[in-house]
Amino acid sequence: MNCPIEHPESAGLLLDYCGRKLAPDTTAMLERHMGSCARCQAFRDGQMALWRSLDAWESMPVSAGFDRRLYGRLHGPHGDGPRTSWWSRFFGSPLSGPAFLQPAVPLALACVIVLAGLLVNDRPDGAVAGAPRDAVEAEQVETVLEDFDMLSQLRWQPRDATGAASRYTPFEAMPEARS
Amino acid sequence: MGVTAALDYDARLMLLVKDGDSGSYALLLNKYRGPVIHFLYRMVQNQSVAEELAQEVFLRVFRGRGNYEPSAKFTTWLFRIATNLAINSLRDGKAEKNQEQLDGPAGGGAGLQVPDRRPTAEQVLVYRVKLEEVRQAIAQLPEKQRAAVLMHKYEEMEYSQIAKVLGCSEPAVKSLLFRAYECLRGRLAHMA
Repeated sequence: MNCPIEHPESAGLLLDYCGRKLAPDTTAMLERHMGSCARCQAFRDGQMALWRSLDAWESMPVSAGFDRRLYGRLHGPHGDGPRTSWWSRFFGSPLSGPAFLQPAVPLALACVIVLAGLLVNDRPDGAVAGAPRDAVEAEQVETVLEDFDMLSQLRWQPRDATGAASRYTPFEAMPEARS
Repeated sequence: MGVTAALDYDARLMLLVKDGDSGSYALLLNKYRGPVIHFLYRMVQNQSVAEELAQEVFLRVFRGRGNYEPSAKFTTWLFRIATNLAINSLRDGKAEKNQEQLDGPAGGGAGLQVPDRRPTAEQVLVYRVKLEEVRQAIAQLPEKQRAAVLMHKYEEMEYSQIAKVLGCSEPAVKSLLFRAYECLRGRLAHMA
């Protein structure tokens, strides 16, 4: 057998041997040759070690949104993506139900919520319910005023000409509040 | 895992895509999404660029469905598109502008994938250093040698198929691979 290293046209033999892709008879022939060829032995050892090193580079996981982005581009404004049939467009998938009913679901829910609100407000004991509602409104006004006071106390006085540090100033003490 | 198995089946699927069957396109995408992204990732060594290029590959597969003829294996056509896009991207320097570090957030997939056997901090460090050396050694190969090594080693493609993807003869591919592996053996000899 010719030494594969000395004949570049048969160099693939050694690579295939290291990749265990050779037929059994060719493998046996090459192994007999390697028993007496130090260069081929060195090639084999080096290539096997390289193979192991390259194996360390594992595959990375594909990001979860890959297909969604791809189909988004296919179906985008300039896309010509795979079209769904009129049947599936109209009736949808078995899991999602008829497609023509899908937009009606949120609309129906919104109608139910609005109707429920109207029914609650139009109860016959509206006069009785009026008093607590007024009390709640008064409480809300008080809370808003208190919040406003707190916010106004947090206003910063601007730096003076000397660059002195800013400090808290009560809202009432500020010139624009007095005016 | 090799991608050259069941070729007739892939070609038949692609012909169905040509006839407008979206389900066949989904099957091909599902089968080759991983191999294409992994190949591109190892070519450009940047996850976001690799996924962007993979999107372009599958867009081109779909847009080119009308001209598809099963004269060559489906994977030959697929990897030819991927290789051309990767080489163009490398020439444009897109990947280098955003080269990932091994411990970078986007590269976490490959960089942080250590075997699930509770490795010690030292083992993780050794693994990362080793991986970085492999990545750099492959990145230093000329584009065609790099593509040939990645298709031969990781995708287990045959010489004839690599030759068709790269547009050269089979002996040229063997010579390309021989030189590339020789170079890698020299660069990574200390890891043996």
